Amino acid sequence: MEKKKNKKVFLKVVIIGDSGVGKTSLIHRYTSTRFLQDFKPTIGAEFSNKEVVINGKTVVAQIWDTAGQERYQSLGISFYRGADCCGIVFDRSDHSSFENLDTWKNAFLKHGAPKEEGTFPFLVIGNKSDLDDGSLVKERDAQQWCADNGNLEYIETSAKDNTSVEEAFTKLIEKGMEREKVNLVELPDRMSQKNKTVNLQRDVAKDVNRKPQKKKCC
Amino acid sequence: METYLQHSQRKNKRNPQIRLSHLDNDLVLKARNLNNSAFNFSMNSTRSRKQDNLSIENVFGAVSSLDSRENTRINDQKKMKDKYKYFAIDRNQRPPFHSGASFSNQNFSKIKKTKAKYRIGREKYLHNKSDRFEICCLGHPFNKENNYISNVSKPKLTTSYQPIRHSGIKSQQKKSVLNDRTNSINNKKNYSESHSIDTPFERKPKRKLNMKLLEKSSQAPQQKRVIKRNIPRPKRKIQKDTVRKSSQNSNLSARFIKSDKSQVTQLSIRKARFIRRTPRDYLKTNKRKKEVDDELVLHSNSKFVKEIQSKSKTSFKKNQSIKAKKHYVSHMPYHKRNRNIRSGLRRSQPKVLHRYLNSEEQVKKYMPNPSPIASKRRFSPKTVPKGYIVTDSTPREDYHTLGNILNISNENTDDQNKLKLSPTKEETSKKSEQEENSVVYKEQNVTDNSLKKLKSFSPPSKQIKGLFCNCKLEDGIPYACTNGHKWIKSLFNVYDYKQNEESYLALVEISNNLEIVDESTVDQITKDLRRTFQKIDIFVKPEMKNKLFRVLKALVAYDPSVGYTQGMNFIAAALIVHCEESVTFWLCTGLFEKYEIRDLYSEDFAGMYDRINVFKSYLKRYLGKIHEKFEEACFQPEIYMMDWVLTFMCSYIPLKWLTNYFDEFFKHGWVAFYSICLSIHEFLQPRIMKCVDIGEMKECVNRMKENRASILITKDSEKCRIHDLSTQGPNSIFTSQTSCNDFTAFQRTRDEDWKTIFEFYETYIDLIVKK
Repeated sequence: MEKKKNKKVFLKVVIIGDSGVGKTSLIHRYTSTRFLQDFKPTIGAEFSNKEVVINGKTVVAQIWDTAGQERYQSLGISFYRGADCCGIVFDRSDHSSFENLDTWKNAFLKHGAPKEEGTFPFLVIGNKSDLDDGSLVKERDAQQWCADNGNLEYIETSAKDNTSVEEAFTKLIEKGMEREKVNLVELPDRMSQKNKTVNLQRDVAKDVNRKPQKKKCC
Repeated sequence: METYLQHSQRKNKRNPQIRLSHLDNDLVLKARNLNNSAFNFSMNSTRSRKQDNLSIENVFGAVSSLDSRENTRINDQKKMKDKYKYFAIDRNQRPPFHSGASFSNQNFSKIKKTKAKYRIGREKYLHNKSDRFEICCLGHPFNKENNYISNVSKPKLTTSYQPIRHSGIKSQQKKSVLNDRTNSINNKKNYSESHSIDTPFERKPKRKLNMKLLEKSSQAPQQKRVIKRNIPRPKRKIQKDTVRKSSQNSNLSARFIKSDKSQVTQLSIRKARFIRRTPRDYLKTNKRKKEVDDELVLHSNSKFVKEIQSKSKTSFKKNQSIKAKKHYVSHMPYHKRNRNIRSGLRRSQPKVLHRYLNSEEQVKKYMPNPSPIASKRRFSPKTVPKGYIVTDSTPREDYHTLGNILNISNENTDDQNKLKLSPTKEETSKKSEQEENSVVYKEQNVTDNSLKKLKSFSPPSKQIKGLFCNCKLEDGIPYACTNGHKWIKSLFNVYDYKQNEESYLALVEISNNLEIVDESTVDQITKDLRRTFQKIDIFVKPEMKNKLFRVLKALVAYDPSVGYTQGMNFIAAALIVHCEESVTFWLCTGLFEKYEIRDLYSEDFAGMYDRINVFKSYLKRYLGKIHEKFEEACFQPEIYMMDWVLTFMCSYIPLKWLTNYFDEFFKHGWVAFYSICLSIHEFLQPRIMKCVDIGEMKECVNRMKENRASILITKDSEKCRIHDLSTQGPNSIFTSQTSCNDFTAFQRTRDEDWKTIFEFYETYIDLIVKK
């Protein structure tokens, strides 16, 4: 049992949200502790690992950065699988991105297909709070939306000023850990990294077209 | 417009395409057995493969079988023909689109009978590459027989693209010349204003008005009338002006070769390319004109200028053959035209020479003392940043439209008028020109300072041959580089600049319609434009952003079924550096059609997966170690390959050396892409082998990306070379062992595989048809 405690815990964190919301810069801020100057739109998906010690356990968080454009949603779906927690980011200065939170959440639940739909750990992140013109999305509205959608937690961040970026991610990871405890009993194999990897092959993408027969392809 | 609306309604329906996946599983299994190589069998890619010997009937049969699968229950071929109407396009006459459809092959007689109406969009899209024919319902908007534009009722180019070509000349002919000057300025203002309305980026005021000129016009109202009579109309003036100046330039280059035949044989050959055909060549027959011109040159300082000019006016009227004039305008390739005008402005001449002078001695001999204007334009070495060399100090960004060019030349006439007003100025300018000429004659009057300057102008890593084009990125001259035109010639056999530009403008006009390009896509494009090549100065400027914006919008309007996807912006941005707006647009469409980039952005990203799978097969074949390593760690190269494929490597390879890459690509096609990918992997092999974790591997590839400014990718003799500029010594240059030839050999075997697969396919379809 002691050996098991020393083992690293792998967590898969998926971050979704509209394009241009600041997902990549948030992740970059967290993993490399600096603000990305030369940002370019994420195409497909990317991931980066970070080791954190939380509650005496070393956790390797594999943070997945997905593309925000609607077009790439069919690609991003394949990355949702096996996620332990999910962060939905919106731009506080862009109201339309706030309105799209619903669609993002639903898409994740639909395609990620986590076992516990009601209690799956989400974190709503309102980014770019440094742009304070008075026209930002108000905290009340965001809190209310979270309350309406199953008591989700809400946090306001700014990747540029580095305000509460770490908090957000630690919260996410902690939540994921709680979930992991539940799953550990059922699936002890989940600890191994091999099962964590996502199959990026075409057959996954074909699920979009609902053709489950063609698993053999590729 | 109606057709277009119908199309947009239809847009959401699924595309019935021929796919093997719709056929029986037996066939698929058979095909899979055939597939010996590691190359993965991909279902959706059939339409992108060569379909040799695939006759029309088979295609119809396939569609019918497809439809039966989808429960539309139309098995009757006749009904099918009514439903799907095809037309053929001659492949050799690309851009085929205004060359019209031609049906010479016997196979297409059936289609003829159906009196196919062309349909917009790419909903029913089929390839048959067998006989240089393409069957498709592409419905290219610019086919004149097509009902696309004709229904739209010719677009009025009033808002964003004011046809300065028309308003600039016709209106100005009627008005007085002095008013013209202000008009041209006003025109420009209007132009910029209209842009700011249409496009989301604001435009800074480009230049200050020439206040002196305005003052003069107000001070000397009495001279107005005199000038009115004597000065010929501006349109003719343009030609005269350019003729005179460029003729001098041609003389310069001719003198060069005459004087140093013994020393530079090779150089002269090289230079011979740059003796341009001047407008003079086209007007050679007109002797009298020439004489008058010579007189003009000789006696320009004298007081009889006015008389001579009046003479020239009359002689011009009589003897100017309209044919020669037309020939000059229409038959000159566009970029040459552009160059001629610029050479009239005395800019490109020293630059061009500079490119072909290698040693210092040669520089001493042949480089004329750079004129003060030119020296201002060039960048100072202090301002050059480390990674990218970007200068853009030219005051005029919009060379790209014909109308603008004409406008520029209109200004030339203004200058000429100015000269007439004050002959002293003319003298001084003449003197300066003569000075320059004298420098060329004496050949050794170059001072040390100028030499130093010249040295500092040379790009930092000049050792590597054939790396830099003389494009905007390097020299600060906009569109001096001919790369874009070179590429477009490789894409299209016939490229009519004028027509294509017009059709492009029409598409831009169409794309302003919100029904065709949604607001969401517009928002997306504006979001992405902020993030394309953000560190490079050119792309920060609103002018460039506007250009890109228009090109991307036009691309969306060109094929709404594809729409806008991230990644296109990088491709367009990488191309727009090298050529004009319309040319970039047509280059992009060429990539769409010829290199099947459209498939990359299809809804299920089938093309992208194809490319990645092919690459993986290459990886397994040539770099087995890496492949094993990846498989051990369960690392799938898709993660980063998606980015590479969808941006076409444009976001990965630094913009500077993308020219090389595109050269290679337009020669060899996708093979160039694979070879570069592979050589990057080969370069990274020792580092990848050390990695333990997936994350490390990913970082390894990413680190290369982050440090890519210091890494240089060149291709010599079809072998990829990677120069690590951060280190020195023998290890700094890495040459990959694989070359394009290997790939082509491999490709051939693959194609054979496909042939056998398609034979199966055909027999199967035959069976269906018989039933």
